[in-house]
Amino acid sequence: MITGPYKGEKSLEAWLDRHHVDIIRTHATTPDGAGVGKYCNRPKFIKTLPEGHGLADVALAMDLAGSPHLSAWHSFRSTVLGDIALRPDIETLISDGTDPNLGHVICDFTQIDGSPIDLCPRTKLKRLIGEVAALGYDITATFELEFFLFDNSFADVRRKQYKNLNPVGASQLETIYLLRNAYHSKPFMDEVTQRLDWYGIAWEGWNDENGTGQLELNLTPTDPLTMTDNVIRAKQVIYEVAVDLDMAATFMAHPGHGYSSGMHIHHSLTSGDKPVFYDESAPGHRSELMKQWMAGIVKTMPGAVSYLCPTINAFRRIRDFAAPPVTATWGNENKSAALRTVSHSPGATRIEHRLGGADMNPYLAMAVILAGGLAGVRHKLELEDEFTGVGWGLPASFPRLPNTITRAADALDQDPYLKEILGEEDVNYWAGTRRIEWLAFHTEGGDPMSRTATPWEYERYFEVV
Amino acid sequence: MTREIAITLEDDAVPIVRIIGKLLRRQRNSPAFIDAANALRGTFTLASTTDPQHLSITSTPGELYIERGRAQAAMITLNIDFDRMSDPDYKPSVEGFLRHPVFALKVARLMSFPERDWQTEAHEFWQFASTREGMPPGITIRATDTNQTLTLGHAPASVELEGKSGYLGNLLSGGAVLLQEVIKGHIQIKAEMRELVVLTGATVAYLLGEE
Repeated sequence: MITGPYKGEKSLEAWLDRHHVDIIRTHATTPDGAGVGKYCNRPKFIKTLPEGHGLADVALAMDLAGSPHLSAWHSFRSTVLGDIALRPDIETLISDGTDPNLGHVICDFTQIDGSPIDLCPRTKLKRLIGEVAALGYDITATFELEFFLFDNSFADVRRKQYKNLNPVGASQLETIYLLRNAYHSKPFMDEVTQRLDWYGIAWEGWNDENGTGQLELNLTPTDPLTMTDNVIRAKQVIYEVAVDLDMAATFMAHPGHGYSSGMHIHHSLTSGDKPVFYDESAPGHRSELMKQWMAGIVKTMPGAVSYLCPTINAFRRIRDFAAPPVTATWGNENKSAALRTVSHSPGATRIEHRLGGADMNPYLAMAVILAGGLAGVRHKLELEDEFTGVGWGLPASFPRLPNTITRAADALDQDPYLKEILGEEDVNYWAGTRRIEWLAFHTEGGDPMSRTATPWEYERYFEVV
Repeated sequence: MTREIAITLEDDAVPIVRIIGKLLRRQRNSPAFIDAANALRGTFTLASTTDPQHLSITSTPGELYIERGRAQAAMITLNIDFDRMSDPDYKPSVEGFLRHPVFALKVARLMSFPERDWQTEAHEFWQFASTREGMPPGITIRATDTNQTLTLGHAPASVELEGKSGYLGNLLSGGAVLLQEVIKGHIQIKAEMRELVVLTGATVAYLLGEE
């Protein structure tokens, strides 16, 4: 039971009454990034608080096609086909803006007795945030959401077998910031931003992006847990608006032939209100803390690729001159490096991580970045020299990031820092699940010789990631 | 003439390359295999009849190199249902036989592997798998057609496996995945979920030639 005042009302029940909420949708995110949950009626939802309702433990151990991971074991599972719980974070409960009786709540996967499961991506991120806080720092973060929008319904997209779709926009070329393109998307985005406003998800802007029919939505920076919850919710909103308007939107990393969808992550640390990445007297105004923090992120980047590019399709982005970085580098205002730093003023100083794809799990992406930063600070790692060149077309001798799902899993296997901080069992399990994804692609009809997304990838990723 | 044949896989090999690589590596100390490899020069393709999993093998002195896809230099192509490859009666169709009959016969000789009894396969599998994380301390295996039984590891074993000798041999030689064989009804198993999952993972790793 939840007792006492709730969000300005005298009780949770009073809040549900005021907002006319009779059905609550629970929403947790699997490691692969799929949103799972149930629609519960109000008595059921209240009765099961605070632990939440149960569901089969394979919900936390299945791939994007719903196949349980039956060749990799994790100790959170019971030795039979058991249950876990979706524990609502009751502070995240909101009412839906379009469905008058519906509420949504973000949940964590837990054991049935309520004990946390660190494999749960949101739980892991909360732990990492706590470890950064234990050093005396708070984190501010924001994600840039890129996606493709089509003037086809999802049913139409499937009927056409994901070919010859109609990207929304005036120009079928790969322009960017084109206002005439954006005008065609405005009715869609007006509905999206209206729902975001209703949900209390602060956004700053949206624009026509480089791919044909591609858009980018920028969310207002906030603490990383709220931000990642916002990302999950915003992606769900974009999907739902597409369904409602008989359109299709995808966060697939590389659904077409041209530009791809990334999810750039900006973050900075503060101590109280003081930005701690900025040092007026230091070269480039980058503090010692910022340098050590970045050193860890750079050092762990080859292993982190596995989390930032979690799908077969994600690696189709990782090519020279395709916009994503291909090297573990950093550079001030350098968008061809993996980490772009900004350090011209205290308030603006931050790190932009440019590697991850739109299909990554935002909780795990943030967690692996924080893990890198923590590794840098704890082990006092030295930052490599700034990369001031163009990060593509480099000679073969220049070390590159892993560019396939198996190379990324191998790199992760070799990373002692990520195992130490994220948890060795969880890291080993994640690498194992990437190999399962690889095996599924090759044994379920995926064509390893194809240079573009295959039917296997469309069917698995287009609507789900 | 070399007496050692290196089996070299492409970089970041795809599953079918690893699987065939493992099959060939098992033979590399066999005199018959060495002779067959030494007699063969050129490239041939194994093409799946059911999906895009194709690979090509190039034989040069002392080496068999395996890579994904259909090589342009392939002299013949064996069209194979890889799921049936270990069936004793299964014969793939061959493209290019009439143009290169001698080469085709040499390929057939190279790709013919002697069968071993399931008990030998079981011991080798156990040597590979028994130290993997989470493996059960013992497994009892029974061939349902001959009633022969073998216990690997510690008795009494918590896991019991049974099936016909042919299916057991195929599984334990790295030719199949445990859970798939159970679903197909070829193998029956008494085990906890954890044991089933860990064993299945071990058979996948074995299939892919992990060492």
